[in-house]
Amino acid sequence: MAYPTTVKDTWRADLDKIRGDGLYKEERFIHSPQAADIMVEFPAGAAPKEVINLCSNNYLGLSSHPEVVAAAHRGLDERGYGMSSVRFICGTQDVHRTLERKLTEFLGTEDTILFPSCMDANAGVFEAILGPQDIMISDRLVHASIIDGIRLAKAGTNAIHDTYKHSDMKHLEQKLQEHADKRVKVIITDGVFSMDGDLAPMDEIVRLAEQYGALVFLDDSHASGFIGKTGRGTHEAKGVFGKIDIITTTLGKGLGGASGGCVSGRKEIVELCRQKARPYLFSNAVPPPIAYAAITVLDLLSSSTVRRDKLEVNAKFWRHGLIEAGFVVKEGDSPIVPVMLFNAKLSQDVSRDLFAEGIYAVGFFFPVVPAGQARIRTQMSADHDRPMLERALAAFKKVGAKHGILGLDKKGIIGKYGQ
Amino acid sequence: MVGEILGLGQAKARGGSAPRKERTMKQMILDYIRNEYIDDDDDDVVLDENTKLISGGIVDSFSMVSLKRFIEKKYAISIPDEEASPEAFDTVNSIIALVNRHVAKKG
Ligand SMILES: Cc1ncc(COP(=O)(O)O)c(C=O)c1O
Repeated sequence: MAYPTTVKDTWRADLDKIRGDGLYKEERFIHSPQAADIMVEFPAGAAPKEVINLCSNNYLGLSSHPEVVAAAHRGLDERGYGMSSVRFICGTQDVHRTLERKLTEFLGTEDTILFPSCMDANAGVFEAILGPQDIMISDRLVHASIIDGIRLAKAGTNAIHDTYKHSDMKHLEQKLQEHADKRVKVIITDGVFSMDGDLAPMDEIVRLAEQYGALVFLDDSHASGFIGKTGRGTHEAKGVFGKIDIITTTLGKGLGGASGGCVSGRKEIVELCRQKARPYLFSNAVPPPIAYAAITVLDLLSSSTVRRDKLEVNAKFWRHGLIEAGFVVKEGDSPIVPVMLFNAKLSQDVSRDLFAEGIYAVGFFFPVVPAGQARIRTQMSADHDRPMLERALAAFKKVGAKHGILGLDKKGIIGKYGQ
Repeated sequence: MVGEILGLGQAKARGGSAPRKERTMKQMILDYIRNEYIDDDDDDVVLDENTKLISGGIVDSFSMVSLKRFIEKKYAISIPDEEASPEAFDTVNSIIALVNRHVAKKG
């Protein structure tokens, strides 16, 4: 119970600094289920306002889908609310194993192990399989949870680590040559990069891995369920389905949006995770309603591509509309469409003005993205319909015109607002 | 390599103007940073010995490890992790100071 004033003051100062730097994050309360349009209370205390949601990971619109909700209800009725145990003590039900099998089939691997989240999967997998003779070679833009996993593996196993320039295959090859003497070499990448929306060149990565005897690790959190012709992920889109040694992904985005993640891949890797991965050993099992709902999601997606097809059409329409309106948009082929504003304050101002127009889209700036690369990240969902997207485009044009950035290129915007 | 390092130390000890070997070290580190961290198509980046590398967002602290490894190998030194701070690696000048300290320590 000792909470000395000196300590309290230190933490208050930390918080003040975060505020002073303009990096303080505030939650906005949503008074409706997750969907393409939602009721948002912002600022706190204001009457909830209906807005079009352009910033969720509800890519396939399954977060509140009736069949998914019904499956979760069934899980609740038939297997209860929670497991009150980690998996290996008394937390594994038949449905957990069924879900693992279905994920294995969907992702095109040998076996799968569920984790409480993909953050946990990424945090646990490297330490479970690597040793001091091994090297992790990661893309410079991988997700924060992978960075944590690499740090844990470095600290816990003395495996070493190196990075390569974002999706730069020449640089990756140089690194593979430099570390040729290592026992295990793992190339680590996201499938779709969450801040940019671009796809990793999985075909070239697999080719280099084969040439240099390396393993491939793919975090497909922003791809599973919708990237590739049947939505299996980035490996499908790039023609290397079945050739990835380790895939991690989340059930918290396209695949239903609740929570949970997995490591899917080589049998021995999955088996080692079951023995050694700390977040698997020391954190509670995925609750039964989520297991039921996720099974239903995989069944839905395996029987029809209607949702991912709609998402693809939406993403094309949206990207094309923004470019035509005169915005600077990052190139890519995914439902993540970043509108580049470069200046941090401008990204906050545009986000605020969009909200006033009934559009919910958030500005991202340093340190979440590199300095001078501030942007509004927009994300499409299969649940957006054409009139919604047209309304959203009209709002973007209005706000873009207000700030005088339509038709300006990168140099023009930086010239006007600074970097 | 050892001769080069000793030469450097002596030049410094004499207190002469910008010793030749130090320029070489500076050039070598700058070249490495340019190849290792700056995209080929990024012509906006101005890079010299005072450019803020980490706080300026050119090198992220997680990717700094290859620069550290390069320097350790090149100058046959070992920089303990607690000295390889983002501050110590923030400019080429501060990196040179760190290297020189370790080279001198080695004798
Ligand atoms: C690439 C990537 N990996 C992992 C995660 C973490 O997923 P989860 O929410 O299941 O922990 C995210 C989510 O933010 C992500 O974007």
